[in-house]
Amino acid sequence: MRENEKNEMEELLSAYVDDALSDRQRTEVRRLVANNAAVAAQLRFLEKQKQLLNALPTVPAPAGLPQRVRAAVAQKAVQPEEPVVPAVAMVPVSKAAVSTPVPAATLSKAAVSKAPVSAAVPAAALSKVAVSATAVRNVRNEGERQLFVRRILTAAAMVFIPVAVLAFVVWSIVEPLSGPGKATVSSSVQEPAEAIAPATAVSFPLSASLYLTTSQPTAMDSFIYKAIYKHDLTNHATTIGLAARERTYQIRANRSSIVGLLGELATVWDRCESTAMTVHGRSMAVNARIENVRADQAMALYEGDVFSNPVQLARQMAEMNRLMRHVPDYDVRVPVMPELTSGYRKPAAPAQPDAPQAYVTLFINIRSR
Amino acid sequence: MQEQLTNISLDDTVLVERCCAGDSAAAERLIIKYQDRIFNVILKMCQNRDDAAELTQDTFVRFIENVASFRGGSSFYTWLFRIAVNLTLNYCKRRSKFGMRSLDACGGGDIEDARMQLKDYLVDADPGAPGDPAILAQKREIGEIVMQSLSKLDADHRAVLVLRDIEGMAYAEIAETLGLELGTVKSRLSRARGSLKDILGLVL
Repeated sequence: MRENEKNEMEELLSAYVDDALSDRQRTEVRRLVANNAAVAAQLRFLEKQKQLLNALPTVPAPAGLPQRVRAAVAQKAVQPEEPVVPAVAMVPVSKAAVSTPVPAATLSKAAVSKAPVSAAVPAAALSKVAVSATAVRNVRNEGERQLFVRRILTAAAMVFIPVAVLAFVVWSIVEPLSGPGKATVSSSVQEPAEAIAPATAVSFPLSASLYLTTSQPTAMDSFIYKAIYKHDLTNHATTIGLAARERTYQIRANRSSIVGLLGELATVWDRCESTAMTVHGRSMAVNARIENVRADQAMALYEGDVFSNPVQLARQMAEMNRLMRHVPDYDVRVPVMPELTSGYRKPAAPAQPDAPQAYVTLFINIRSR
Repeated sequence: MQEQLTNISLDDTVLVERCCAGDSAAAERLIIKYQDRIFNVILKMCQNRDDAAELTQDTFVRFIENVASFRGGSSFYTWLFRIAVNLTLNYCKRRSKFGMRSLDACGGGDIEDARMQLKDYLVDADPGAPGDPAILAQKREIGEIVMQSLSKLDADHRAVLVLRDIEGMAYAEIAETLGLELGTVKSRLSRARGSLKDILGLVL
């Protein structure tokens, strides 16, 4: 017998037991029962089961129920909201509380409604159940109104708070740019201080690393060593890298000496497969790297006066070299600061050329290809 | 008041109207009229006397609070039972999270005897076999087995079975009380009886 047929048969038998079939259906069931022992047994079981359930003993309702109902209604009228107290304090010691775990709200509610009539409810309240019911409804309406207001306020807050946060963020970004005297707020999005600092305020110490990659590292090393000696920089130079395929010189000297050394290096510049120079700012985080740097560019960096910003100049050179890769015939020149015809005067150099504070640093790194 | 209480032949509709008009005696009469039936239906569904008492009381509190909204579209009897059954079903769903006592926990010689008697009564192929269901059901152990078998049913199945086989409601009244279609009541009742048969088969 398929599942559907089985369900139909059970439903038919169930309705037969309840005497809820038409005459034709009843006759059909009787015929089935007469011809099928299993169906007959099933029907007999269902009939007995029903009789058994129907015969289960009834239990009288607890005594005094009407009084307790009145008391509970009156209690609700007097005390419209659930008391906010620990449920344990309100729970009567009853079988329900001990044997069956019930949510605390139910227990506290039960405890309130189980209060003795004489102790909890005024006699006047007991006399008019319907009046109490009206009071309950009024209180409930008031509660619903308050709940509605709270929900509106919550919804407004949920909308307003994100908008306010967003507005503050937008204001913190936009307002300092348009308003005067707010430079400190916008410092996070400005260029590094060196890029905008007035040239008259400070002098810029120059420190740069020159990377020369060549297939003749030994010859290049020897040449640089001789050049250092030739320009009388042996007391200002140290070798800080002694790896097999790499050597680094650190030269700390005045600008003219460095320029002279770089001029010497220019004669062998074309023996390098690649060149690059990193110019370090005052902060280690501010660097500018010039790929394919030329000797005249390196010299121009060290020829610049102490007030020009070397990082800014290096960035311009790097950008020009990048462009040059795309336009090979483009004549790239070292940018030169235009002479102003206004009353601007370049301030005098603050330090002697040979004073220690006027020294600049050049690292020369020779790498084997 | 005693005179009013003794006059219980008044129709429910009249009592409800009086109740709406503020007649507390009418409300009390309705409570007295239905308290035992409501209590027994709830007790059969929730299986706990204290909880049944609480739920019965809650049912009548709801009745008093909401009697003004009763429009007479259905009979007062089904309206009241609807409140009771909904409260009890909610209670059963909450309680079902905590699990229930196993039938196997009922041991001992008396229970074994009761099982045998119940089995003889239900499974005996002889239609004329001895066994009066009224006498059997009065035995505490047999009543306990039947009640615990009922408790193993889904709450929805238990509700429909209690309303039909214990309360004796008609299909239409059950449909109105539970808010179901008539066909749904029939099929659910059939499945509930089938499930109870299976459960009793396992127990016995």
